[in-house]
Amino acid sequence: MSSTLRNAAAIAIAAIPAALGAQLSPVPAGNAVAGAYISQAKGYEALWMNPANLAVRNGPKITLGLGNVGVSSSALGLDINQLSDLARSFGDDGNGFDAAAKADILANIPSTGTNIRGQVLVPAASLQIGRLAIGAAIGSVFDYNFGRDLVDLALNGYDQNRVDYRVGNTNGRQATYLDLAAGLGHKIGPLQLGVTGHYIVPRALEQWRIFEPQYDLVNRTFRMDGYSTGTTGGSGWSVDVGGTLNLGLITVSAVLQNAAGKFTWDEANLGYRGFSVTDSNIENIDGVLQDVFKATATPLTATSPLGATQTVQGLYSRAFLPKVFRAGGHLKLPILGTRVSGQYNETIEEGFIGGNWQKYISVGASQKILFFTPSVGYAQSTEPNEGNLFTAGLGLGPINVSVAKLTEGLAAGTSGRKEREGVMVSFGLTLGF
Amino acid sequence: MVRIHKVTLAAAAMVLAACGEQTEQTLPFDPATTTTSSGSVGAAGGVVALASGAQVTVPAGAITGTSNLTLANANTPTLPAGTGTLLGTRSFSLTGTGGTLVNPVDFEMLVPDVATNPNGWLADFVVGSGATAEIEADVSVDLSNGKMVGKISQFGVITPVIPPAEDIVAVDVLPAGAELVADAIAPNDLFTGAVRTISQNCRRGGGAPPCVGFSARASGTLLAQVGSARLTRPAISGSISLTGDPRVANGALAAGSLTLRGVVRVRQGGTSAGGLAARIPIRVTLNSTANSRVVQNPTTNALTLSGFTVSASPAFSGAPTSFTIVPTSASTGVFEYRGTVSVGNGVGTVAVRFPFNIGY
Repeated sequence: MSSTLRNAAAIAIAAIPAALGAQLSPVPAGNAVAGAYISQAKGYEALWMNPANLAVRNGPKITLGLGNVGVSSSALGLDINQLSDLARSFGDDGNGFDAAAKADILANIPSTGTNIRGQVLVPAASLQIGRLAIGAAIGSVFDYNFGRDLVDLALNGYDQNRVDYRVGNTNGRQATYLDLAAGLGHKIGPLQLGVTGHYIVPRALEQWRIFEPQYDLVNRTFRMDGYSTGTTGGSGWSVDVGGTLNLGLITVSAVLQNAAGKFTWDEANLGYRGFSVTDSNIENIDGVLQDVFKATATPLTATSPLGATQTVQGLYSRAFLPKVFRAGGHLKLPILGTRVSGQYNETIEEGFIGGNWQKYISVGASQKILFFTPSVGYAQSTEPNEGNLFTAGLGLGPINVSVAKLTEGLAAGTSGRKEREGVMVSFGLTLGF
Repeated sequence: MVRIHKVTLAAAAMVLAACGEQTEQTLPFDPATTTTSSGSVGAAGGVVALASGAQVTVPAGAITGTSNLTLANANTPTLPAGTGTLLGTRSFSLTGTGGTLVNPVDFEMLVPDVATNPNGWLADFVVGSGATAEIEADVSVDLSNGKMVGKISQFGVITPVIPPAEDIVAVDVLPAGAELVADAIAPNDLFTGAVRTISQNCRRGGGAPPCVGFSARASGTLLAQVGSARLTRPAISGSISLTGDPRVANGALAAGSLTLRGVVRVRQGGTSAGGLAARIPIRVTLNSTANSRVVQNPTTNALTLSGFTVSASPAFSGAPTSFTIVPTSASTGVFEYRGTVSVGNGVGTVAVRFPFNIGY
């Protein structure tokens, strides 16, 4: 009993991909300076960051970006080490923690439960030739809530002496899409302007929820229902517009990402899957969940089970790319090989498929040393929660890597614990000619 | 000049683009405007759901033949006095044509008010209206999702209600996590405070035959690991009557029974808004036979009762299981039955008391 329930909770949490945001830049060099990169992005990077830079003077003739991968993930109430330990512990039924560590984790998870967000951004292939660039990217975003008792189950297993397990606020939402982009830059004196058009292929949008168990205290039975609702396919587009002005050592830029656009999910594929965990099948909960994943979705209508129609509410809400304004610049010291950048970022129109920081300022610096270009960055958010992001990156010839640590809820933390912590990792390969 | 135009056009394009907002996509159905749903359900069972907030699940065997069930939004009916107060502002009608409902069906209803009303966790369904309204108290409340789930044994308009104040009796519970050992626990009052007196009338004087009037209350410690508990809808039914004068040697009673019914509601998480309110239907029956006696000493007025049995659900078991008769005056006393009840993972001592009075 204990292992199956623990595994169920483990599956739910550990199977999470990664992900979120406006904070996550599409290219690793951008992540290395906390996103303060719209005036520096060059070659194929400009396609994703600021298309105006496709027209920059003395820009690269041809660049090819391959295998760019950006991942971010953060959790409420868990620090980075605990999050990774928790994921590892699922494989051994939670035995990776001693009692004190388990108690520490549970003590820091709010009574409302924990939240795990993440984003994966994979500009898998991009090509820039002169002032024209094209590329393809895959994006995925998720936002999951887990009741505190589910974490307790994952850590401690099922306690048969309890009849008060609560699912609480356990639900989630996720989206995946394919982005085919083409950008063009144009130079007008010292000013460069550019536009990137995105043809969006929505892949999947899902929203799931688990309802409170119903206990029959007399007959000692229980039943817990869960539903997954969603759709696949659709169509969409969006447009980024940007401008860059070169002022000698200083370059300033502004870009409006997703300045206009439309995301339409295919309603013909709207469906649901449901499951019930009861006292009679809880021993085979792994099988129950596997059956759910394998099952073909049933079309969802107004006469579908109440749990399904409840779960689907809000499925489409803001299920599009956010409209984000960014303005910034950098100072370049050619002799020293130093660049210092700063940038203001504001989400003008909130979209689920984006970051959770509405306003933040980011700064960064990079220093070229022979074949190496180390970078550091810092971002500070003021809305909706106070938070910050420390980043570091390294460019080594065609290879760029970056890592970052995200912290939110600085003011709300107790005993030194922050409300939310997370990490970002990105990697990319650039070939230039 | 041409360059200026290009710049101007580009800037204008940016501004115009920034002004437009993306269109929110909506679901192909709107629960608020979905008013009816029908489905054919046979002996194998089935589900009929309505996105506006109701669902009926028919277990296998609950309907004989095939019935076309219809769920629909309904106006809130007028409920008879004593039924309770309306919870929320809406009802649903459940109707069926063909087939016969022979066993209760599961009914779910979205009732957002259960999470905001302090007594929402004690809510019941009332089926029907006016004098024919029936209370369906076998209901669980999902406070996190604003949903009531219960058994419905007849068709009609289904309305969520909160029992009248006099039908809500406080129940003492131990703190969460307490370990209960039946013999070690003092019999705290299970039902405390102003217990609603439910009693049979006992006619007295005027040449009427002697009679025994019972009321009911209970005491004990029932459950651990719950935040709070209440007994709702207590009611007594049945009759026990004397066939002989209790002041003479043989105060014989006719065979009969008195049944106390109610629903113990338990709520997890103390006063927190979330969680689940589960229910324990409870029934205690006091039985008399021809061998039962109520005898009163004509000199001292001392009362002696004997020959009664008690049956209970959940079953009373284990030690101590006993009768206690405590005369409290010349014509009144308390007939108490005490036992151990195991419900879920909680074990406790419960004493059901039937205060009585003797009339001649």
